[in-house]
Amino acid sequence: MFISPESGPGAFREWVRGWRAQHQRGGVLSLVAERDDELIAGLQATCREEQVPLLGGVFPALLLGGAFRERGALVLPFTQMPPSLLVEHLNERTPEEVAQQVEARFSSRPGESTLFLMFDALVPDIGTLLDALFRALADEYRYVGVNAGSETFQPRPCLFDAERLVGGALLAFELPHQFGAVLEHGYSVSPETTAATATRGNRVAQIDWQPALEVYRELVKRHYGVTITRENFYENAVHFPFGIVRLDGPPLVRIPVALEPDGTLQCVGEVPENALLSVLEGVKPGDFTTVERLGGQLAATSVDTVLGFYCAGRRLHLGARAADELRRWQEVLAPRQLVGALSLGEIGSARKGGYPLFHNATLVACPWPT
Amino acid sequence: MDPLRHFAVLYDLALTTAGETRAQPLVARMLQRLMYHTEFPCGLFLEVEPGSALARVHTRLCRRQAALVEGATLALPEELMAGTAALIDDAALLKAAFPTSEYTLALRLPVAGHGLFLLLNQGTREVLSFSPTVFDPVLATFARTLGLCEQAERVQQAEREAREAAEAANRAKSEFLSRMSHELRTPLNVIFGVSQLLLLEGPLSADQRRDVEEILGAGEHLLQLINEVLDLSKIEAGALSLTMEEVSLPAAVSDAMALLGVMGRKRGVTVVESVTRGESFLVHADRTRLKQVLLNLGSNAIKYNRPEGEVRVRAARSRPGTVRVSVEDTGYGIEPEKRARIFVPFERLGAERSGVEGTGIGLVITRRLVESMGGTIGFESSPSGTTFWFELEEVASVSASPLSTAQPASRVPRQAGARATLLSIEDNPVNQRLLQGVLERSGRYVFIGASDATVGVELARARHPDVILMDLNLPGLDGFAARRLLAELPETRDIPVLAISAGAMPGDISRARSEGFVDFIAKPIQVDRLYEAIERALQPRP
Repeated sequence: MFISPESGPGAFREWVRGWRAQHQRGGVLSLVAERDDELIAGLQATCREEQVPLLGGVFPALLLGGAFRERGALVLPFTQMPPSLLVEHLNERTPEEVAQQVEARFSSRPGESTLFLMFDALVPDIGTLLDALFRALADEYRYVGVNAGSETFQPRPCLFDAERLVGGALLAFELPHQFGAVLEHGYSVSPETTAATATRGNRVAQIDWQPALEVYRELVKRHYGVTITRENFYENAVHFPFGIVRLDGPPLVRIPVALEPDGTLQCVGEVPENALLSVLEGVKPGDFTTVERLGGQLAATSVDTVLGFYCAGRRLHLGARAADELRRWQEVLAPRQLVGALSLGEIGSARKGGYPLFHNATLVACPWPT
Repeated sequence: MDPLRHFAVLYDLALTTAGETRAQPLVARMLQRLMYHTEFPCGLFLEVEPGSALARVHTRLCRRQAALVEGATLALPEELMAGTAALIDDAALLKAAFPTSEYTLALRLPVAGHGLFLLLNQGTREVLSFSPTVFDPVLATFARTLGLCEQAERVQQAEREAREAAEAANRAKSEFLSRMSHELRTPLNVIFGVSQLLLLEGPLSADQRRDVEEILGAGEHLLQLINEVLDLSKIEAGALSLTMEEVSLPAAVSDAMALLGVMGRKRGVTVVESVTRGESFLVHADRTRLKQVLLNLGSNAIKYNRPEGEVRVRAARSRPGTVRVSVEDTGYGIEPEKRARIFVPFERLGAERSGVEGTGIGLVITRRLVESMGGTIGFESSPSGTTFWFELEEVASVSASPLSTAQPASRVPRQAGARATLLSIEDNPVNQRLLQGVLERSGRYVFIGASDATVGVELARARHPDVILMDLNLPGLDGFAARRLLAELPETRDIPVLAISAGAMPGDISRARSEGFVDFIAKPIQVDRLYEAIERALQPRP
């Protein structure tokens, strides 16, 4: 269901009553556009009154009908409300404590299940948290997730249930009997690799023992012919993100989003020290290979709805042509409906049941159980 | 695969484990990193006995339903465990090996001399874009690192066990010494106490008085023997504890001289002090043990002297930074052939036939005490006398700390001539009668007695004694707990409390002081010492 800002609370209430009448143990997941976050209070109040479990997040925009929607809220129903957990105050807990809490809450059911993870985008150590989760759960689950929040990257409460709206948190819920998600970015890798020799969290201070900006500038010039300066950094860096190279599988994208006076680059997501880096080039506008590949991976699914997330960094890179890619994505998935949101980071694995990795500039698609 | 990328990833794997010195975390980090790079969702590190088909799960990262717990022993097919790095896609083999799981692909990465990493997947051979042998160089280094970690842990474990065993043995020794001290002193206290009471109370005939003095003398000798044997035992057991502090040697000598003078007068020996005037001679020593050394040497010099002889105690700087204390006697000297045995335990060098009392371990203890305080000891002897000396390092301190004694809490001073009220809390009726007799006999004190701490605290609140004498080993509420209770009550918190106990180990004494007792009287009680402590406690605090 889509709730427009003009809708009164009655429309949602009527819908949820109808849904609850057919699914006594059902619940709802809501994705809310940040411009209309005042809708959250009404959703919470209605769900409390109707005794319907509610989970949700705030995103820069929504995906609906093959287009970006800057307003409104999406509501996706659960026929049977799955186990869920909202962990607040992540900055006051160690990764092991968070992992223990998640492990205690979720006990996998027979058959394959997926653990959906929704983080506040401003949690600084999501990669470390995912490592700890994997140590606790390993391949007990397929992993998929996104980052919620504001495209301005300003702190704001962005995760909610029927009682709370919080920031700095993790919202996790289980999707039983669900094979996981598919994930692609399609960015191309330059042949040259270097090492991030000095990093702290998401800040890359040195590459090959030299100031990060200098080396980054050299690599972009050498492989893509573009001159990066301090003045044009914010305009150009989004098109030439780093890729963390692993032994196998596609690289993990890390978009540099800020530049410090000493040449340190701040990225979205942690960059481990000694990580192998390559400078990537974003997909070309009009190249729909990525969405077509995603669609192909979901071809065998029989669901009506596909929950999808489109990285805000990718939209920034493609600009107005991002809408074309989104439209093509919906076309490929048709007759299934693609609903979702613009995300600030994505979580998933390149292969089924693989390691939960944090991504940028990525498209994630997850069949929504009906 | 691009060789540079391959090399760089191996570099990353090697650096991941760099700096880790413990085996378990080293293996866990390597395993997780391998799974990160390969995206194989299940990982195990298996320890394999050479020539065995059994493998022990050392580390696991896999779903809980796989029932692969750390420490479990698995019987795995040899085709899975043996051999070089390889990708195994025999689904039937893997099903036989892991019946509760659905893995169809295994990546075997052996670690020479330790076992193997086994990564499991549900995919097919095509999921891997590289040859398993690419890991060989880093696994070889990892094997060496793991071996070093395990060796270091074995050494640390052995050290830990040895330390724990030594600590347990020391604790046992200390407990034994403490128990023996208490068990020996308690009956001695009765011997001393009753003897002193008999002497004080009278009336005794001359023969009876002589007999009682014999008992007292024998008791003193027995007490000295017990103290020295316990001291030696402590030293031998390494259980001797010293409280090192800055001590003024002239003050320590003066202190010892008070007792030595009395001893000397009884035997007709003159004891004189010869300390360089105007010098503080601060040394780093245990105050009590330093006095013990002086008394040991001084008493020997008196005992083994000529009639009408002299003992001279000197303290002077022997060289910059070192102070020497000498105890010279005018005795007959030590025969040359006996000098080598002077510090041998229980060796009396024939003095046992002389009628001079002694245990033969005093000098052994003296030497050990001096050496424990970082000093040296020696002697010179001739037929005209013997000089025992010891040297200690001088402390360069501008603030010579005066001898401190515990001061009682500030109270309203008694009127001149008024008797002080003393409350004794003691559960042993014999000891209590002794104390009452001793204290009332002096004519200076009013005695109140309580047989347990609860009654004692109530009496203290009601009668406001000037000093409380507290036995530490009381049934129920013990002396320490009673002291704390008294400290909490406004009407009793300022009354000084003296601890009395047969347990006179250094730990007991220091605990008593730290818990607020103003002084510690060891049983068997020596009356003069008791009077001194009470009078000190009665002094108003400035």
